[in-house]
Amino acid sequence: MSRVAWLSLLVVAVLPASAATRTLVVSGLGGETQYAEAFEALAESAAQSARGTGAEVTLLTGADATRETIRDALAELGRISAEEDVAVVHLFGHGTYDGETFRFNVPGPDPTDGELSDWLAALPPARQLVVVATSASGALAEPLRREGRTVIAATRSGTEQSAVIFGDYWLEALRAPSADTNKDGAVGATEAFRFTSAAVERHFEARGLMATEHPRLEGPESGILVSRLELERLPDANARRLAARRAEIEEAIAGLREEKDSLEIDAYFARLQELLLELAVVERELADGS
Amino acid sequence: MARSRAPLSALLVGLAVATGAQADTTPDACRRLGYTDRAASADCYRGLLLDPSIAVRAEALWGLGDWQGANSAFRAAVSAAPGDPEVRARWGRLYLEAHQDADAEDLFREALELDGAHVEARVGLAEVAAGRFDVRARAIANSVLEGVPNHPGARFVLARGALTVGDVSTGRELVLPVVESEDAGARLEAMALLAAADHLEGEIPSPWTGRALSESPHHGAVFETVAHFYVITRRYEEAVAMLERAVEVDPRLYSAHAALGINLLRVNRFDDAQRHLARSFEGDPYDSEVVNTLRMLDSLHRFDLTEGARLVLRTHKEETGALEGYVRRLVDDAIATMGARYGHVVEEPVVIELYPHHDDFAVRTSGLPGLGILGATFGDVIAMDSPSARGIDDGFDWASALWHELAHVVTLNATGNLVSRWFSEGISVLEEWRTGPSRSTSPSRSTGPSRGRSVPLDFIEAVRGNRLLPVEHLDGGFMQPDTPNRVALSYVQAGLLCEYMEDTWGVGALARVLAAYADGEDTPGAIRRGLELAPLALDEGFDAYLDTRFGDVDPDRFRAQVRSASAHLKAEAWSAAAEAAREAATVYPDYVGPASAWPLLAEAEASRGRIVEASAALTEYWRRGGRAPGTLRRLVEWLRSGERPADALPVQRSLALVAPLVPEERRRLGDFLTEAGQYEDAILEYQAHLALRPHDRADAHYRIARAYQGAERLAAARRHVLYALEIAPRFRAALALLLEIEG
Repeated sequence: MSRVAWLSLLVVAVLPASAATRTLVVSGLGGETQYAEAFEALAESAAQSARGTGAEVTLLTGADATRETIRDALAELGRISAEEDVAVVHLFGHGTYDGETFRFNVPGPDPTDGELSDWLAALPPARQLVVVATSASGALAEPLRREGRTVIAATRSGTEQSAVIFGDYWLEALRAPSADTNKDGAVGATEAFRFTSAAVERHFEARGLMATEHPRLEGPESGILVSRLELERLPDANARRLAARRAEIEEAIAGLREEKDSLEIDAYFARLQELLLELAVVERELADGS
Repeated sequence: MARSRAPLSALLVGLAVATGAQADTTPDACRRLGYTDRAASADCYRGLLLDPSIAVRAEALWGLGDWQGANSAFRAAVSAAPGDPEVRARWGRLYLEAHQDADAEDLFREALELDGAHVEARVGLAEVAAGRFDVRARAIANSVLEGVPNHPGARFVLARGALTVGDVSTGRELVLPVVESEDAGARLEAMALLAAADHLEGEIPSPWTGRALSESPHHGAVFETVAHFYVITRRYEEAVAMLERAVEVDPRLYSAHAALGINLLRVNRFDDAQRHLARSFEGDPYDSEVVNTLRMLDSLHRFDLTEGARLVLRTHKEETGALEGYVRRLVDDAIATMGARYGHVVEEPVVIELYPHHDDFAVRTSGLPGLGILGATFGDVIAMDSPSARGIDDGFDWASALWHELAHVVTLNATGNLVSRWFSEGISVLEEWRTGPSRSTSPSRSTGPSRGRSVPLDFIEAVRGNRLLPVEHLDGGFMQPDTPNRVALSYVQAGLLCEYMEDTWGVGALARVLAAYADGEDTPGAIRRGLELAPLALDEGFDAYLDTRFGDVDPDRFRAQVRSASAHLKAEAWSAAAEAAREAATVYPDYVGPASAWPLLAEAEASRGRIVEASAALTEYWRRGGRAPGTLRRLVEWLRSGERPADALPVQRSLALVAPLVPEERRRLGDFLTEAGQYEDAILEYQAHLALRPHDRADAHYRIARAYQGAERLAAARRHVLYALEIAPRFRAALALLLEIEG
């Protein structure tokens, strides 16, 4: 059995069996060639990573990424999605904020924060992720706030209007093993956000520059996958049985961690070790089975 | 205090009316009274509050401690008599007392514009210059004495200057005549300076302190003056004792409370320091040194205090985990290495404070932000910038600076703080160069700083231009610099002088000179005793030594070749660039400062695909003490890609040492050490990496666990692998390691 076969089972454990993830990725106007090319490359990479997680992906770039096509794509996403599904939206490009209205820069009329909010509000999925890798994107955090939706913005507010480097580090997060802090072989939205925030901070520090952007996460922390670091394959029956046992052990570990403060520390670690040793054996059997 | 504001004190005016003050007295008379009877002096001043002259009322307010009122009155006096230089000179003196030297200087200059010969204004200017260690103080004071040979103020400026550089006999000669002055204030200051001279020469107790107190029983300033010269000669315990006496005699001597507070910090008595600084602030809120220091003390709750038998370490909470290991190694290594070289082992724990903000260090050291130095040693207390305050790219090699300060601890400790400034600095610079050495190649002693740091080009130019100071006057290069770069030149000169002494007579000669200082010898005496040589002969021998070392180095030719190499690199003419860079490296191979030839040569070679030659150039750069992180990182990459991990390891050690707060460098070094089977050192690096709060904490714990396992410390390995898995239960490598550990 492939050493990564178990990865698919994690998704099974986290999501309802019938849940589907649908992702819309958009790159907006670059203005200058270097930006246009960079935004498209970022969008294509993000789309590729999303496909690796098993998501259905719609990619809009260049002249195809207009106010109308974005509206229509979201409407279509809403039409085919159910409440138990997951909706993910990535916007790469330039954003502007005039003190009242945020605009995502695309060819033709720009969609505003109000429009984006309305279009997203029509989506049925209870769990949503919106990643806005643009200047001034912090202005979107409040308007897009909604129960079950995580909004990740490149800037703290609409007043941070310089072109952002957030997207470059977001892309790095989708590929870096160190972004996968829970070591489940995939990168979740919150993991990617933390990796990117730290990298952006280091970027400015290392160059002795004043930070012109401060990434922001609004809403619940999210385990929605944005990237899978290893390939997955379909598990066989034995692997499914082992994975189910692994899920039970993990649940026990999570419960134990919640009780940590009320336990003697030695007793806590003794019990943790017991569970982890069993988990290690299960993991080894899974690996051997491949 | 601002020149543009301040109300007159109506309360004091009211008091003057109530006490029925006399109108026939003068401010001078009131001042004289103050030396023996303060209450009578205050009554006297109150009597002047209704004087028709606004200038006299200003003096009265000043005498009564109402500086704002005095300031306002002086301003009115200047408006009333804009052509009177005397009022401006007196106003300037008020500013001098209120620690606003720049405003004082302006007023003295304004007075001199009105009367170029105004003596008090000229003396005021000399005092301002002396306070800044500006050599012009001496010239101004001498010019005053040409016209007024016995002017006390001018004599005091010169005497203080002489005592500062250890010329005690000149200091005495200058002030002795003033002891007979009719001016009580001048007499008392003369006695204080004579007492300081006695203390500097070890004649304790000095009869002059008793005589001053018999004339003015609460004249604590006599002890404050003595303390000042103990501070100058870095004898802080003695300074503290004198200042404690000063405030005991005169509890209202706020300047002494301030100095006491600042010097108590230097002997690591923080609580007492805070108390005296607060007392000073109550009485004199204008002293910015006090205000800054109190603010700095308030910020210390963000610091950890780690106390051990050998080391007391104060570090910012966010930096302790990354720095403590290195600092411990450096201290152990330095004390042992230098103890063996100089025959003196420091027994007391060394106190080390590392400040992430340079201004906090500056305030800690001098009470004022903006200090140019990077570290300071007060006996066995070292305060310095932490590596986060400034980096190696700013020319700050923190480990080398700490090594330098630790050498001061040894020389100060060995001599009871009697070592001369130049010799202590010279030993410190020499130790930076000489005993930071093999640590880059010896794994067990891996924390030492860089060795053989290159001598800057402007020093070589100073040698060629015969601009160095004779050894007898080298202290003046630090304390009364005559040119902007004199202090920097003096550090290098002192270091090379000590190097010359060691190369010629052996390290024992340095120890003998040190011992002579410990016995109270001055520089000529210490040189005669330690080297059996006259200072002049030492200078002559040193000149010849410098000629041997640097005679062939032509700074202009070096610079021209470096410029040529840079231009060729820009034009992508790689062969020509390599040729010019190689030529520059031949002219001055030891130069590894900014615009060193070696990185240029490496760039040229790498650009034409000769990575082996490029690696060789950067290896030379590193061996000679080059420490720019970007350059070393490149060398590490080349050595690793060339499958030379054993060569890359010591370079990575240097890199981690100069950039100890960069998590990736610590982790990378941990990886290289683990790979090389040096698990204990790897653990230190990984622990530092974890302390720097890396993004991937599970991975950081896992690496520590792996190193512990390598070191066969299984309990610690188990603990860390559990920490890793607690964060990331599915961490497969960690799960496998747990199974391995549990067998």
